[in-house]
Amino acid sequence: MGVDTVKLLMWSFIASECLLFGTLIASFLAYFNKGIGPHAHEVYDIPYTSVSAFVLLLSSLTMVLALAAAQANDQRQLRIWLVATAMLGMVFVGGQFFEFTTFHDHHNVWISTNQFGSTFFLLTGFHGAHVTIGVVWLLSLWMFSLRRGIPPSRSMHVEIAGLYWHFVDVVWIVIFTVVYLVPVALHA
Amino acid sequence: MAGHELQGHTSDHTAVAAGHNHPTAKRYIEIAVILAIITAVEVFVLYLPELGVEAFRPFLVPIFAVLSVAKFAMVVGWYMHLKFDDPFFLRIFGFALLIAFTVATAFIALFHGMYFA
Repeated sequence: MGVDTVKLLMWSFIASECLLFGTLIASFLAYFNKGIGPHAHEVYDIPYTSVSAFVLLLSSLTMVLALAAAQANDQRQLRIWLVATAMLGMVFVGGQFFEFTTFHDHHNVWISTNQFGSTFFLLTGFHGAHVTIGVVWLLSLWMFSLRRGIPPSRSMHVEIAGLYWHFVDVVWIVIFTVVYLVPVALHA
Repeated sequence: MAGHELQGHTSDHTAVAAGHNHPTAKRYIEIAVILAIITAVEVFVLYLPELGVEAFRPFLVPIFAVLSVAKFAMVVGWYMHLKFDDPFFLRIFGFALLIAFTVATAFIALFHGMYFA
């Protein structure tokens, strides 16, 4: 049984990313309720963040549909789902930008304010940067598919981008629970 | 890597993909609906104590942990195709997760140990 080298490389990269995000999440858990406020439960808007979580989950669906279209050589569907995934990613990043500015403008929380601010903005900022890179990657694939098309024999390009995108999604699943829900639940 | 033969990325991936027996679009949508429902349940459970259901309060974090792991496993298994792909990828990912979890747990324990000292 053969193992594709590009896929192996992508999974190795994802494995290293697990360590990066694991460390950032551990730092958040160690510091989020230490020092001066405001703290997590005072600034979070859980319903708003839940919508962001739904958007990112939906983008994972559109991503697998893009891969299915690529494997079925349905170029039109492939382009539609690639653009849909990129747009959902942009909505997520836009929502994160709005959340950051709300924290800064209305709650006076920024990366240098306190331990919560430092660890929160570092973690979610890194995640947002990953989503942004994913959006650029997806739009590049979309441009490529417009110019030359992506035949089934090259569908691995879409699958690799999909692996990255889904990883960003699973990281958000953990962040949504550990960084958003748990601090609020502990204070409830 | 024993027992695994590396193949270049220029090979025909159609056969590889077909061999994985990837799920249908309908199944992908079903998974998405389940993920959305679990997320909605998470948010609903968070507000149960505020709605007067105090009995849930001690169980909030364990409930979130279980639901989060379920969502994580579904995305990794179905959308990232670990359920269908070569088990070697699962071992790579599982090993990384194990190390990340161990390091994170040790770090938090160490940090809180400093406070208890």
